[in-house]
Amino acid sequence: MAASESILMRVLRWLLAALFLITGALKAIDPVGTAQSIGNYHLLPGAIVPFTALYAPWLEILCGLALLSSQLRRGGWLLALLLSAVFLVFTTSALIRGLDISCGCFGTGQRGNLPWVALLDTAMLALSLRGVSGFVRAPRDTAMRSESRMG
Amino acid sequence: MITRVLFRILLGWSLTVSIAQAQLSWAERTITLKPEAGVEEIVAVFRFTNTGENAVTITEVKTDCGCTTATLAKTIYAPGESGEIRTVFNVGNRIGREVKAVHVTTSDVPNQPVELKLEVTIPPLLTLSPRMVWWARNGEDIPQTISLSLAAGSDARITGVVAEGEGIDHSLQQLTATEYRLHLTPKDLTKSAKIRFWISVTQPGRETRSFIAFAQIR
Amino acid sequence: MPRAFRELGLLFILAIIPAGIAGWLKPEVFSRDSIPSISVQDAQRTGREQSVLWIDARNAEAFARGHVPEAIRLTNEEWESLLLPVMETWTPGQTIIVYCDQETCNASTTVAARLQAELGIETIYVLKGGWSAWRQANQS
Repeated sequence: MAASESILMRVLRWLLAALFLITGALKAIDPVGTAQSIGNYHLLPGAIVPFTALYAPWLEILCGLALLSSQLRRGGWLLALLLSAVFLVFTTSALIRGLDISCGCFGTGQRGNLPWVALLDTAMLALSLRGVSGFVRAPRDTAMRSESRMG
Repeated sequence: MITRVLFRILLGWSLTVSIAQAQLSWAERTITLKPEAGVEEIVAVFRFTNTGENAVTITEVKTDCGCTTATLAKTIYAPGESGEIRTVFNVGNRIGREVKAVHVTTSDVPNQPVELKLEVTIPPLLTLSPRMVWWARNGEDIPQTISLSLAAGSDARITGVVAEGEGIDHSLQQLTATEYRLHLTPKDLTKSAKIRFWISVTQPGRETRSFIAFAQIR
Repeated sequence: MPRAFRELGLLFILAIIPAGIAGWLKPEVFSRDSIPSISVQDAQRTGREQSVLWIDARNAEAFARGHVPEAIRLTNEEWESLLLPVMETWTPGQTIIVYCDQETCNASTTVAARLQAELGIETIYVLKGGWSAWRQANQS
């Protein structure tokens, strides 16, 4: 799989990995603030929020590491796809509901940045789709090549 | 097909972002403080330096709350120049964890305002436990006590208790430098009553603060 | 493809360990404000069945522009001065519903939690959707 990866894809994979590592780390060091942010989206039941706040950042960090590794890269792409899709759902739901995530009272907010975040989530999703399709197609190509050799 | 299109959006975006690099470098974007009890204002200074090659203009500094003000000496910073944003947070009667944000918009990246955060944990100057006591009308007239605890290690003192309303006797007892007891005895349980107790707390160099406790006969 | 799913599963399992350690190191994640929330519909129904005290956790300007009828203002920063009218009006056993600007504003939760902690009031709720939701429900 490494041989068929273009230079562009490799750079983008590194960028995506860096993004997940950074955002995951930022969330992992402040689980209380992360729980607050997740709660602000009002999408998850209150009881699940603390567990998500603890678990999701580490999923992101591992995703970043997996994308950089050769052994777990496919799993990394799948996880990136999953995480990007989830982020996009959260951001889109906040945009649709007109939520102003930050508030003068108490917030770890991103005022007016939601459209940009949604764009970023979409881009991440697209890249992850490309990455996953990269190894989904590969076995088929190998099968076709071996068939043509036999035939 | 769709993935290819979205893919190109990603490419375009990453190129745009890499070009539009913010020029201001911040010493700290989040300042965490643990002020002592009774402070009226909390000041945090966010320092930055223009590490870019062009002058940067700070076009907007906005706080989320009327309780927080942010000021800076000037708006244009030459390359290599440093500056600071002075944030003053008016505490009021707040206690516990508070996070106040300041949003700074600069000329180099007008679409990406920087969010500065001031995180404080404000200890209560006086803790009343409980804050309200009550008796049932025509019930038993057992005296009740409100514990008044000043913040540990603080230089505050309770300097007076004023009752507003009739029907309940009170006396203040000091146990230690920071522990007091307010003893309350109802005079006549046949009549309903709502009494407020204003407790004055004084700290050297600060204005006297009043805390309110309630006693009811219902 | 199955290999990719195996790797994905491994990542999910691996993440549990640091997450668990983080949870053990910072148990305060679990003790966030536990004030129950109530929808506008349920709040109005409760208001018909029993006496409800509405508390507005917004600032004076917002309150002046419009508020729930008979609501009283109470904010964290003006606690000591605003607590008096609240306590004068509140009767024991009365349900309290606290609201503020929008879904995500935490002032109502902070005020509700402080009322519960300092005054031992049990039946206290935060209004889901805040003032916007109430106004929307009462426009139709």
